[in-house]
Amino acid sequence: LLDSSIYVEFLGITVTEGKQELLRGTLDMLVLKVVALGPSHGYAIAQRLQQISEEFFQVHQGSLYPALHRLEDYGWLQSEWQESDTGREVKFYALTKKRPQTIRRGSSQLGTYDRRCRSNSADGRVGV
Amino acid sequence: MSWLSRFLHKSRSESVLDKELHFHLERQIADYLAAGMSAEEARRRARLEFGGLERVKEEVRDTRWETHLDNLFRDLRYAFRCLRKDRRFALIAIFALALGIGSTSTVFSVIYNGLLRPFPYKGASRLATFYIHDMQDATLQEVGRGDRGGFTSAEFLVLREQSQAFEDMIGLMSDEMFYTNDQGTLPLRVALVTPNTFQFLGVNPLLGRSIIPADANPAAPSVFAMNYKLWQKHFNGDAKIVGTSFVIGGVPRTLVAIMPPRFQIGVGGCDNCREGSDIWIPSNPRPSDSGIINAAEPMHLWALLVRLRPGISPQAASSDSYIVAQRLARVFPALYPPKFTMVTQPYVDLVVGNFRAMLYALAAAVAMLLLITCTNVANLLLARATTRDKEMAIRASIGASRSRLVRQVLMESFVLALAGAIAGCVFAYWGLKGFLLVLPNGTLPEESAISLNTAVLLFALSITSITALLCGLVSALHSPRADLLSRLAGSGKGVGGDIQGGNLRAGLLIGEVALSIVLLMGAGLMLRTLFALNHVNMGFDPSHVLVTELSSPNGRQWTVDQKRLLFDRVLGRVKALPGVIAATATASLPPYGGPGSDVEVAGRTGSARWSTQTDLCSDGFFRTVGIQLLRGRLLSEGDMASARQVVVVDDTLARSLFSGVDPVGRKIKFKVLDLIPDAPHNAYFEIIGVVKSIKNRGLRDSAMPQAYLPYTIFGTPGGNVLVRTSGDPLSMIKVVHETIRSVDRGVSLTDTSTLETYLRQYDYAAPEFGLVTLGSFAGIGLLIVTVGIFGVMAYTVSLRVHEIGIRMALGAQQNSILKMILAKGVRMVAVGIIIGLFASYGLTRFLASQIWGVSTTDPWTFAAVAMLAVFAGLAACLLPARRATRVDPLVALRYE
Repeated sequence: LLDSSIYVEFLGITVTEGKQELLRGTLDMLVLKVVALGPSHGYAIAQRLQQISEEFFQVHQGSLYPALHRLEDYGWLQSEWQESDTGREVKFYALTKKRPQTIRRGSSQLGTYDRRCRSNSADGRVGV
Repeated sequence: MSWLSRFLHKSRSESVLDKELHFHLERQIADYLAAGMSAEEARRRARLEFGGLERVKEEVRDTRWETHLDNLFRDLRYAFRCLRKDRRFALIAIFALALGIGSTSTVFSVIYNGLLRPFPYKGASRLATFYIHDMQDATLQEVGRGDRGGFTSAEFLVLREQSQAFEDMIGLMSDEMFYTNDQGTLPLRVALVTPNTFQFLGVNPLLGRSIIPADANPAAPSVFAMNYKLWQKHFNGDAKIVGTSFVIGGVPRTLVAIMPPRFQIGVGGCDNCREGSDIWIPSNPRPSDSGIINAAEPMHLWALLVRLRPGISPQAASSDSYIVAQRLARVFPALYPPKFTMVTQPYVDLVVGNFRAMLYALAAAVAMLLLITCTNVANLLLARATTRDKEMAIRASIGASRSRLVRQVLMESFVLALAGAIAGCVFAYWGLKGFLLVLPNGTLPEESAISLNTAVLLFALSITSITALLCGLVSALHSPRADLLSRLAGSGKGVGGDIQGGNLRAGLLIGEVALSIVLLMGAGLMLRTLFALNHVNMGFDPSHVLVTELSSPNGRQWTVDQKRLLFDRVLGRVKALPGVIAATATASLPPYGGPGSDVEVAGRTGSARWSTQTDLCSDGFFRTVGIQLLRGRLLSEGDMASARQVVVVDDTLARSLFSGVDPVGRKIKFKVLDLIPDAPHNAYFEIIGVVKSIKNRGLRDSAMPQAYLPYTIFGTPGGNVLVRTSGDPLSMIKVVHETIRSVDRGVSLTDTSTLETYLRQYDYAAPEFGLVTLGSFAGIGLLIVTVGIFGVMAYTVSLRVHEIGIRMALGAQQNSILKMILAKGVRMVAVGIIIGLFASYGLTRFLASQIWGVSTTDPWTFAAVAMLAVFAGLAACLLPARRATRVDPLVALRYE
């Protein structure tokens, strides 16, 4: 029923389903790492990811939010509405006590991914 | 639970998400403003970088599974709304599906409960019986030789001891005993069972205690278990009778158990019925009565029931028991044919036998019916899908994914199928009642409880899902295929865009027609079979004949004199009754013949083997049955009185034994008599007359040679009385019974009925059942197909209104328009018919065991079915075609 390959607008790379899983996992990992530094809201996380790599969201920053909500659904992140530095009600994300078992696996996945990205960035394209 | 609260407070979670995303955007804009961009530019870039707000929201929603639940409900609601809007379509589809699912469930219930899981006994699927099969002569049996399913006590004990293939074995022996109390006597069908029977079958009694092996000890008090049916019928289900004593067969016996309703183990009465006994009495096989088989009392043999060891096939069991039987044959050479095998038969086959093929044919028929239904509904859905093309295109263009659209279409067919299943279960409930009404007696095990049980409902549910998929898939795959642009741009009724759908619809229609042809062929062949059976020349007139069976009250043998005295007086009084034309005693029931025997002609030697069927009858036989005398004379009263050794033969025997030479005066010997203790041994019977042949092996088989002997030549425990009446024989039952009882109060009368009833039961019931069931399935199929053709043609016409308008504007006559539309419809139907006829040609052979007197490829049936289908197809096309001719060109073209 479904097309055999799915087009993912993430990092601007066309990936098949299997690779899409990998990329999704990678984004989840990075988000968790950023949140691990301290509770922060979506915009801040996006900014931080952007700092890591100028071109992280090569297409849309909006794609961060499905990841945040997914992680919250898994129970790895918790959220709370707090006042931000500008005095507005903002949704802050923080790590929960529940540590994902897949982090280890994810790290190794990340390793291969890092290497691939680095070789890509050598061509001057993407880097994390 | 957070998902639950999100699900219940959807609007709140939506606004929270909105707030979160907007905060992101606003912060971004603020940052860009701070960086010195213009307000316009900042907003533009922030939005560009963020991506589509609605799409992000949709993706966020997709991460939560309550969204899927929500979508499901939404699709469900939408499907309901759509179907409600198109009520006529929905009703037709649901009705068709209900018929399909209902009939499939009905037949499944019969097969599952009657064939696959009929017995409530332990390890029921491994229960089997076996019999000795004579390899030399399978058609004719002498008593004690030939095929034999009864075993002596000695054989039972040896087989039980030495066979390795069975877990255990029980023996059953049928008997008739009389229960005597103050009010009178009640004949009981008794099964003497080996004491391990109740443990073997593993069924606990409904009331009382189970019978254990110790109950059969000679010293133990005599006990018995009672059938639920007898308990209900004669004791009104009174629980207090358990533990009381009954005088049965002259012996006081204690009732210790009442068995549950489905415990119906018993020994067969006739060929294709196996009734549960009224009571069961434990009895040990006595090795002492290992002697010869008494031909007059062949019942004193054990019918065996074994449970095969797990993993042992019936074939393996056969060869295992054959080894034991070979040893037995050396000990009792008189009991075994020279060349024989042991045949193991699954217990259910003993009852169902030949009827299994009929049930499987029905299963195939309902499967086809279901397929027709699915195709039909799929076609209707497809037509709808085409009109909804634009709607689907719009949905796709505003972001619905393909899987989402497919799901939505499938949901619609699922709702249809579910409604169909609910209505179908109601149909199945009534269908099952009707089914059991036409089901011939004794074709399914008495133990089987045929109802809409869990298994059947689960089955109905699963075929419902399959149905939903089959119906929905075609249109689901069809709709999201074509490219959006052309579908949005098209008028929705374009001719070009519909070609693909049109071909698909035509293909489905052709398939439907073909399937219904196969069903009609099945029904047609059953009709021909019944017709052929009804027109068999039996050689006599079976109407107006009453049959009753007399047996001696204690099951004991009558002596020749007792028997003659009784029948003489009974026949004399019955003949004198007003309304009675003639009466006779017989041993057998025409046209079902009697015991076979080898014959020898006096003064003729040689190795040729001649055999004949024999019947013992009184002088009134030929007049009662209506058999014409050809030569010589008939049996007379004097022949009866003095038991003269004379015989009347039929012309088949005269032809085969004496090759047309007048046999009157010749003498022949019946070898079977030598095996019967009180019959004249080594006696030659003089042929005194030749009569016309009648059917004597049932309606289907050709007649065997037949000999009629005086019934007074030896004693028996019973015999039939046939009475030819001038009026309705059933109205005579009471008076005939009273007359017989007036001769002897103690005589027991059983199986009183008309000859026609017997014929119906043995010969007409099965094809009638086939005709009624296959006929109704074929009728339903044809109806659905006709509606289908009508629907598709009407739809085609509605699509082509525009085209027809142009044609008419250009001068086409109404006639040519009518022809054009009809030709299209008839072409489709014709292709379907041709495919269907070819398919029938290949498939009807599976019905071969159920049909008779007509070839499975009978050209007349083929032609009749094809004609019927053509008429149905034409009728279905005519209405839409006539509507096409009434198209007003002005109206049709106005919408351009």
